[in-house]
This record gives sequence, structure tokens and C-alpha cells, in this order.
Amino acid sequence: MPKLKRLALAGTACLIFTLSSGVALASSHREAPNITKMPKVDNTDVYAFQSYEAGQSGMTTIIANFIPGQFPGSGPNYFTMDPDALYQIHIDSNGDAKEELTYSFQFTNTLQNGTGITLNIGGTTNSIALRYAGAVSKPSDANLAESEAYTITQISGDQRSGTRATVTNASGGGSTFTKPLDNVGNKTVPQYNTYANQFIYSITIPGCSTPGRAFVGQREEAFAINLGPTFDLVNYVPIEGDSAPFAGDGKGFPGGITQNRNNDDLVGKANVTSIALEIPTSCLIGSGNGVIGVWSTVNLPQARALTPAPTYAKPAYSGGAYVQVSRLGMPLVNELVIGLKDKDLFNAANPTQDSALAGYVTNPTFPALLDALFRTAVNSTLGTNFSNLAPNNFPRNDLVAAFLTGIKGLNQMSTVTASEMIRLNTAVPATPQASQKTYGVVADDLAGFPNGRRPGDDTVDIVLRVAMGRLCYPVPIKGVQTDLGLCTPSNAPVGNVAFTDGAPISARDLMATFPYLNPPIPGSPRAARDAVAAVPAKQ
Amino acid sequence: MIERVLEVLPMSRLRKAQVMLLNMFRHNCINSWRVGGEIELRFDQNCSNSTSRAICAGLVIAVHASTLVLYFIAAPVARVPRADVTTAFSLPGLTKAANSAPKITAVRPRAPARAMLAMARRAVIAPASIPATLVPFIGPIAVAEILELAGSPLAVTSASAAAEPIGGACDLTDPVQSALQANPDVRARLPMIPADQRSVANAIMVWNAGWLHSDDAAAKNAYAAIRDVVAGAVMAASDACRSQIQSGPRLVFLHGVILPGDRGQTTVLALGSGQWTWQQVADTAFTPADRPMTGSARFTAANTPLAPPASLKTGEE
Repeated sequence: MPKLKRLALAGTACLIFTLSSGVALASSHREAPNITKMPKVDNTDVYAFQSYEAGQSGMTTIIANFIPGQFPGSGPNYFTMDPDALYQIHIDSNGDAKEELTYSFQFTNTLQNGTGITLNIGGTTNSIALRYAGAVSKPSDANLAESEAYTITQISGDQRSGTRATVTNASGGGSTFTKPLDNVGNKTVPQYNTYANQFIYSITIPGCSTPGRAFVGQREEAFAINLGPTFDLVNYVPIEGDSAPFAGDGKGFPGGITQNRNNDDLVGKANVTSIALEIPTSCLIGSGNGVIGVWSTVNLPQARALTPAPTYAKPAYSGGAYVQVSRLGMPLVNELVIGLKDKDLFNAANPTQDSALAGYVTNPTFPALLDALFRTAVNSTLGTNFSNLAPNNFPRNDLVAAFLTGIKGLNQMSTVTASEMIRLNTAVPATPQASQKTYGVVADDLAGFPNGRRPGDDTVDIVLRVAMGRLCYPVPIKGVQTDLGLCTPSNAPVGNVAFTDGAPISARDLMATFPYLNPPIPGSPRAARDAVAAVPAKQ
Repeated sequence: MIERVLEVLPMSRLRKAQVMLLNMFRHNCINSWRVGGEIELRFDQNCSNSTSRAICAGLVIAVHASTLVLYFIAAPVARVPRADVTTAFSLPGLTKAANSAPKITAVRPRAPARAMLAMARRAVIAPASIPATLVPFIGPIAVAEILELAGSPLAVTSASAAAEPIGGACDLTDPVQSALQANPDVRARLPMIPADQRSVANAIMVWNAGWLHSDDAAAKNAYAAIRDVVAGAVMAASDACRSQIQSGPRLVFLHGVILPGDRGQTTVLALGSGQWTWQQVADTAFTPADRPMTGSARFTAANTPLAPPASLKTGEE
């Protein structure tokens, strides 16, 4: 045994945890210190909503995005998922903050013929350096040197000990699905949307009589945010400068920012990798009241050790129990609510543990920061005398309702356990794309955020407003101003102010069909890339 | 040669072989063996065959000697062991390394032992250059950060944190919804409410301190039917429940009563705003509408929500 110990000590000299370096582009998605070291498992956004594609009523779509800040031209390797990781989507249907269903995705990368594409150069056969050797138009294209496949496992009950069953391809069977090559550019993938649509699978879900759909692949970012200036101590006036978004009249808050795609650092500029599932709602709601809680996680083996002799198949050794390293439900919680010292802990926590971090919600710091930054300017501009812009109702029951329990009557589950997840009342019918309101519930659209989250919901603006007390003011239901009973206007001096980061998004900016997020921005040519960035935002 | 042996026979296998050999010592006899993908030995305590005893003894000595030799010369092997034979961890409390199809196990992650933390602190992390002869030993994991996972400082939510059901025991939303869903008049008339009297999500606020009325004849009948059914369901409840304070709106979902082709075939009826009681809902149902009619739909009682100052409108709609 002493010999083994000596060996162990010697061996540890080459042990480090392989946490690959982050993507250079800064992104709000890199919300916790530790996850910035692991972009492949960084969960950036989760969406959960009733499918609004025509003919898809009765279906629920869940999208989890990963790998933030993908510059479209990031050749030669672009963005593959981590084969060591478990990417999971969880559903709580009874309100106990524990998953009743989990959909677990695992990826495998394979070189064509075990070598990639090879060329005979002067009598010597060598692998080429690229992931493709010509134009790509279909799955298993001969020009692909590497393919990325995945399996989906449904786990009923506890994610570790529940019943596991394999999701299969409803067209032709099989349990292995393929992920398309990223949008390298127009020369490599001339018709990217046509190409990518071949990877939308009809799936047979165990215990579910109606087939669902699955897609995993690169998409254009839909998280609209004025990223750099926002985290530069909100280096703009975050109040609508027009009388209404896109009014263009400058009659809003003096000096306030106005809606413009140019204010956005992600939409039109970066891609992301999406895992999208569409599942019959009846297969998700279990025995609950029709409200489901949705969150996603990524788990990695507890230990990963680098080897000085990496191979394609095994660039590092990994093993041990799976450990949760990323977690996401409601947007911006870990960015703006959880304290810096606890961000990584939040990523590792289960919803059942959230009450321990609830103090960040009941007594939030973010509104106080906004107050410190803008109170003087607001008072001088409006001639008001606010002593504090931040709401004064503590505990902030309005935020607890929005982020931890659901809003009573709207999206609260039959049993209420304070926990952070997206809560979607599946009984609220989907609003068609054309009539969706980008501000969701506070704009008279009960099918929008925070009742679930759709890709076209402007969650940055909504969260800004809710943080500053928007829910203390009435919200319209078919135009009738309705008091949610959470707090009163006297609690929130500026709760009815149109806070905004000036980076708009709406359902009209995105696709109306599964997987709803736009095809990825091409890596080349620059003109095509720039053309996407130049597309103006729609109302 | 030794490298090859190590690749085929990892240390864990050798340890298993040693256990078998101990058994052989104990029984001192074998009556059959087979070497294939796995070594299989069968022991016979009553064996008296001298040839078998001799073979057994010879085998024991030979394998023990081989094992010891392998232990002591393993370290300086220059070649990296193949991944498929070196990924097994012997760390206490950890599950075995995942193979090609890893599963989530019932074992929850635990911290490495305290001794391993100490070992990790002594270890050289990320050497600038790795000697060519160094074996990447995959044994105790030397990363202190993992220890933080040992016992999460976050407690699991206690049962007492679970709140009561919506509206408490006296919430009448469910009986009201059941009554509306079952009523043929409501089912027949609800589809006649024009689209402009529903929100984009098919919601209609039918009671907000007063009942919604409409100039549209078909809608008027539909609202009247809804009002009557709701009032009846409320009056069937106990006095205590009717007078319990409710907070915020209640949503009632009527499925499958919208004209075919309508999205989701679900209408959302909303009742209540701020603090209110179901008794008020019933009381106002029996109050005739006596306000002058303006617009296509309005309430019989005043609803006075707080309006934002003109200069601070949100422009959300």
C-alpha cells in the first residue's frame, strides 16, 4: 500500500481538473465564477411555453441553450457539446420542487471511419485537419469528418434512482439522434436551414401515446441584452426614451434609451447551442393542477484528470459520481439576484435547497444598486423627491411570487414549495406569434413571462421592471387593471416606470415553428454575417 | 511485455486474483480451471488428488510472484495506459467511472476523504512539463474544490415550507370552474363572445368588483350565463368560505368550449383584483346593471385601479 501511495503522489503531479478556457466574448450567460471555466456546460437560457406553431396546440415546448457567446466564425472546431456531461431538463408537476420527469441528453463525437477524412499524400495516408472536407447538405454527409450524436433518456421520478426509459425515433426507430454541423458558412453549408431541419426528429416518448419532437443544434441567440453597458454600472439611462417602444418620438423619459437592435450585444451577433423538446402537455402535467415547473441542469463526473497523451476518443480521464455544475430556470436570477459568493453554490443546488438562498429574493440588492446609480438623476429630471427608488416591501413578496412560488391564481402549483424554476400554467392557451406581447403578463398576455417563458419575451426589461416593483401596480387582464394583491404602489415609487435596456426582442423577430429560435448566424461570408446583425428589431 | 500485461490486467484484476489464490491456499486443491476472458477456478475441500495439489501449489506460487513483480515495476512504465483500463477510480464514496454509457447512480457525490484533501494540497498541480516516464496515475482525486460538495451548506426545504393550496381550503375556484365547465348554457354561449372582448391569450375579466356586461347581444347572454352559474356555485359554499379574503385574481379555465379551430379551445375567465371575497362576487351578481353603457363591455361597479402618472407610463401594451 505504501507503494500505491507513492504512486498516487507522483500521479497527482499530472492531475488537474480540465476546465477548458472560456470563450473570449463576454456574455451575461457566464453568470457564476466557476461556470466561466466550462462554457460547454454553461446553461444560458431556458424557455418553456405552450407551442404556438399552427396545429400544435396541446404541446409544450422546452428549450435549453448552452455554450454562450458563440462567435459565428469560430473555426475550425466550432462548438460541440461535452461528451462527458449529462444535459438535463427537469419537470416538477406537483410542486414539491423535485423532478417528476427528467430528459437526459448525452453526446458522442465520432470520427468518420475512426480517423476522420483522410487523404493519401505522396503515399502516406493522413487525416485532414478539418471537421469537413466539402459542402455539407445532409446527415451522415460523406464530407463530414466528424459527427455528433446523442441519446435521450426519460427518467420518471428521482433523476438518480427513477425509472429510466429510452426516447426513440418515431420514424424508423433507433435511439441515436444526430446534431447538425454548426453554421460554418454559406460555402460549407449552402442551405443551412434546409440542412438543419433534417435534424428535427419525431420522437416516441415512453408512456406517451402522442409523439413529440426533438432538435439539438446551433441557433442564433434570442436573449436580448445591452450587455456591456448594463454591466458597466448601467452606462445609459435605463428608462424608455420614447412615449412607447419604437414610437420614435423622443417623448418618453428625457435622455432615456430607446429600442434599437444596435443596443444588443447578442441577438444578431452570437449563436448558441439549443436542446429543444416538444412534448404533449398531457404527458408532462402528471397529477398536478396543470402548472409545471421547468429547469435544466448539467452534470459532470466529479473528477476529470488530464493526460499527457490525449487521444481524440479520450482527451482526459473522468469518473466519479455526477456533480451538478450548471442550473437554470428563471432568467437573470443568478446574474442579478444571487450574491457573488453564492453563485457557484446556486448552480450546484437543487430547487429543494432554494429556501436557504431565499434571502437574496426577499431582500434583493439589485434595486438598491439601481437606486444608488439613478436616484439623483431621476429626481432632477422629473422634479421629484424620491428618497429611494427601490421598493420598500420586505420581504419582497412580489419577487417571491414571481421567482420562487408562482403567482397565485396564475402559475402556482397545487403545492407550493419556494424554489426557483420556470412555472408554466399549461391551461393558458398559447398566444399566436403575431399577437404575442413582448412584456408578457404585465402587457395583458397571460401566456407570456413569468407564466413560462417564450423566446420573444423581453425578459431583461420585464425583470428590471419587476425588480423595481412593477407587480405592485395593477396588470391588465383584457384591459382591466387588476391588482395582483402582492404589494401596493406605495411600496414601489417607480414600479410603473418603463425600465428598459433598449435591446428589444419579440416573437416576430423569431421563427413561428419548432424549434422557434432562428437558424444560426453563418460564420462566413462577412456580408452574410453582418446582414443578420443589421436586421432591425420588430415590434 | 509488462506494459502489455498492465494493459490487459489492471491492478484491480490482480487483486481479485490474489483473493482467489488465498482461497486456493485455504482449500489447497482445485479440480478444474479455465482461462478465457475471465479466470475461473473451482475449489474442492475434499480433494485428495496429489497431481491437482501440486498444480495448485505451483500456480499459487507463480501467480503470487508475478503479482509482486508487477507491483514493484509498474511505476516507471513509459507508456500511458489505455483509457479503457485506467478510468476506474478507487476513491471511497465515488461511483465507478462511467464507461461508454454512464448512468446517474443512486450514489450522491461525496467529498473525498480528508486524507485526500491533504494529499491534494501537497500535490503539484499542472506541472510545466511532464516527464515522459510519468504514469498518469488515476487514483485518489486531488482537487480540493470538490470537497465543497461534501455536505452542501444549503439545507433541503423542510415540509413546513410548503404553503397551502391556492386560496386555502376555502378557495372556490375549482367548484366554480367545474360548474361552468358542466353548464350547457355556458358552453353554448361562450363561443359567441367576440374576439375583441378577449385578450390575446383568450382571457376575459368577468368580475372586478362588478360584473362585466356587453352591448353585443350574444356576448351579453354569455356573460349572464356565466354570472348565474358562478353565483350559484358560490352560494352553495359555506358562509365562512364565501367571506374569506382572497388576494389577487383567480383564473378559471374553460376547455373545449370555443368554436372549432380556435387556438387551444380554452377560454380563461378572470375574477377578482386586490382584496376581495367570493361573497362580493355573489352579491353583485344579483344587482341589476344600472350604469349607463359606454363602450362594448364594462363593469357594473366601479373599478378604480391605480393609474400610473402620465409621464411614467410603461408602454407595455
